Amino acid sequence: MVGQSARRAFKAALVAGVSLAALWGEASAQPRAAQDDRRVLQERIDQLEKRLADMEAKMAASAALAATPATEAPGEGTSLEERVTALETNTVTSAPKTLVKQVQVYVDANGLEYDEPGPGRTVRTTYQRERVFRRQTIDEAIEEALSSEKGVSIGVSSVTSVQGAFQSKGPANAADGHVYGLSAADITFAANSAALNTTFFADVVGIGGSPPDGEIQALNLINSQAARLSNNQLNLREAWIRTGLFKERLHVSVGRLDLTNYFDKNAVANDENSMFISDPLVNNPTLGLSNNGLGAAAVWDPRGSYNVKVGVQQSTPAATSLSESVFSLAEFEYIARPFGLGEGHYRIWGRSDNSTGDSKTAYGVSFDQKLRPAVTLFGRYGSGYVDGFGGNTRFYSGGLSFGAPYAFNPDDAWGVGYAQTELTSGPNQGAIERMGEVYYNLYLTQALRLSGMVQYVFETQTGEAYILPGARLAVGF
Amino acid sequence: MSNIRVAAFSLIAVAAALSSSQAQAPVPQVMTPGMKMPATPSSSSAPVKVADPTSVVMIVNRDSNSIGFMDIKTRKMVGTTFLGNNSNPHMVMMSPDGRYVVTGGTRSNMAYIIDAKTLELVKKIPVGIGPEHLSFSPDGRYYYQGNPEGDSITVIDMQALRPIKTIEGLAEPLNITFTPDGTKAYVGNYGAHWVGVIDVTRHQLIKKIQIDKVPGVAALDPAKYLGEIKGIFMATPSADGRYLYAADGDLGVIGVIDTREDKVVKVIRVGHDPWRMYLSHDGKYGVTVNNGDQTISIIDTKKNEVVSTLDAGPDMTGVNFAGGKAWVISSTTGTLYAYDMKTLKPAGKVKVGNNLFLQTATTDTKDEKMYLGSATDNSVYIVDGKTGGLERVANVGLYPWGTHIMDSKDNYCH
Repeated sequence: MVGQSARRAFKAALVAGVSLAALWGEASAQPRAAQDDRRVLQERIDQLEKRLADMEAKMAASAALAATPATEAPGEGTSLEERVTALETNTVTSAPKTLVKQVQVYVDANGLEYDEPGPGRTVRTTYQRERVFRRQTIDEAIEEALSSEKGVSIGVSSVTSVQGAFQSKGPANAADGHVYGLSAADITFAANSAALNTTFFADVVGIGGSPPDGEIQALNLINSQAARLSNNQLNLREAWIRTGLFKERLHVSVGRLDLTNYFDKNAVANDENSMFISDPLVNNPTLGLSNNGLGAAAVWDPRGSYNVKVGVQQSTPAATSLSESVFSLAEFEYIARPFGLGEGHYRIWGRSDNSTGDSKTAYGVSFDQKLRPAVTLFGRYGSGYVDGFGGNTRFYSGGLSFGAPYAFNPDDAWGVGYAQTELTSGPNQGAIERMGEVYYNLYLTQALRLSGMVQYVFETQTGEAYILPGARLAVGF
Repeated sequence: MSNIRVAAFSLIAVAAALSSSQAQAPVPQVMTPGMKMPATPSSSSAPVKVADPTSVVMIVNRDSNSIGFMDIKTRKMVGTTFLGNNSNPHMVMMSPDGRYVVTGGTRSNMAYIIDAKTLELVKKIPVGIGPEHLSFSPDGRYYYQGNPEGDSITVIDMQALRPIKTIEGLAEPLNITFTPDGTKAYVGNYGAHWVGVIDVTRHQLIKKIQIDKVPGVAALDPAKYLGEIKGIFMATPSADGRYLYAADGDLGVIGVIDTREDKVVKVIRVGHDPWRMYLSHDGKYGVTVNNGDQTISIIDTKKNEVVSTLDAGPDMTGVNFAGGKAWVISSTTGTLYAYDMKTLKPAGKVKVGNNLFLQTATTDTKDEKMYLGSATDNSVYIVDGKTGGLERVANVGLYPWGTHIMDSKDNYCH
């Protein structure tokens, strides 16, 4: 340590010497008097270098004598080392910084301000510039400057899926042996005002391609990426403002909403981009929402064992007034730990829909229950009138989701699920769809995930059954 | 010409500083190991400001470069110890015997020792670069000051009040945990994925315990694994001190270390980017805050497995246990999230305020109230652990960064 310090100082001296030497050539064009100055300085440097060399030799000898275990008494060399450290530490100039901060003061009836409370003084919050002595590294200063930038954060993501169809049952269909692909790219904008507890969010998505749903006649979408969106178009998926009220226990969102982000959620079967891609394993079809639209949602969440949600939304792009195709929803969610298991989320919801002119209702449940830290059981049930099917519908689904250590990598996940949709009234009464899927979501990087999946779908209405292997690449920044 | 002069003067200044160190007395403010100091500050004639060291909350005021002392009963500031401009203290701690208060000045590279009764600054000791977190050996003999920017720990003998060794070879050492018998200390290295084992007899790094293997897929993800490393913040001891729970941010796991054998006996997967584990006061559960996915993981320390993963908030800086609940501090949202430690379920939240930048808190020894530093409004908030009720003590100093109560079970820093 001692020798290192001296060497460091010696190097500093040499660097200074080199600087002088470098400047020497530049100075040669200067008058002779200046050259004399340089000569004097060079001599002085030579003297100092010699002194430093002598000191280094002395300190090396001192250090050798003092080289004993932990409890050694530091010697002269150590002292010098620490002096140099202190010198290096304290010679850095640092100007005081001024910051405007919120302060609490006490004001009497005459408007005089005090730091301490007292008789007749009332507490007031004000703002005041304060001078602080805080030394910052360049990294800290840059970080602070960047974090003080206010603006809109922008995110981009893209999901591309490829699926093949192999017919296993039923009359021959053109879909047999066909390959399908769908690509969606999202640009999201988010801005936040901490003071007002308010967030603005918008999601613009462009989606295009040929999903299997064009050729396979199924009750539900085989590829959920296109759900509630128009294919081969640029869509505004969402655009809303959310504000927190009552100490942020109540959040109200208003704007163009996707109410499936609020209702019928599920921890392990809710995202077509990273979990199951089959639509009935993403959302409950009896929820009945066919399009995103203008609406409002309120979530009362005191961060206890329960939360309550209500929402209203228009679910058709063809409506000519706000009175048409209005969905009204309510949901109660409870967090439970039954039988000593891990946490489980249990939700029950109900909705009404006036798309047909009458108020048509449906209800459903959704749960996800941890059986083990890395194993989650999920299920859904729903029943009611679904305008898209033109009749009453009964639906249920269930499955399991797994994470590490039952996966190749720590952030991988996979799952197996089954969903059955039954039309109990209407023109297609008796039609049943059975859909199963197993997927594996491979974590490649923070921005890149690759999934492989195999789906099975059987439609009693057509008598056709298909096996659809596929892959999905998701990129997000 | 002026450039030449500047270069020459720089050279002369460095050389003069070196040469004068042998001939002149040390700078009075900086007490170096070569100097003789009174063994204790008892000879000071300064008035006693704190008669009972357990009666005060110590407050680290980063930007006013001071340690504030607030009386727990009256909520009044009873004194402040100024450390010097640009010292920027980070963490404060009372010595086990209650005689000294110590802190490290992150931007002065100094350790400061304060008389706990008179609140006088007794000594400044040069340490490594960027001192932050610190710890005392159980017998109070040694004060280990971690220097994360210098990758070292400075060992200070609290009897002689002088540094006796610098332990090198660490990688951003952030927290130090002594075994109950004081023979070993375990160092969380945030710049690596191992826990360092120090032989306290020799003050020497003797082992490096790898918490878990880095997954093979890491080679594909340089942005995560070669960017800003998030290794091990702290090895948290179990109630009996036999096991240590070391959370690794990048790996998303907790490695359970058996201190008898110095080996990892179990790896527990938790949420993304766990900060560290905080042990409940009864020792039954540990709570990790997972800033990567804004959740907490509750770990049963008997089974050594996660028994509950619950939603929390962003930028979590700490967990305190009071009133039968775990209180999680969400720094940038100005919010405390509560979790019932019997049902292991969410138990509400407390919005402390808007535009606040909450730091860390300490809990009183009755496990009833927490003392939470709030940097942007220069306040300490006293939080009732049962009801979540708030009481603000304003103007405690500039940028209160952390708090400490002697014998509290929730003395930590971030």
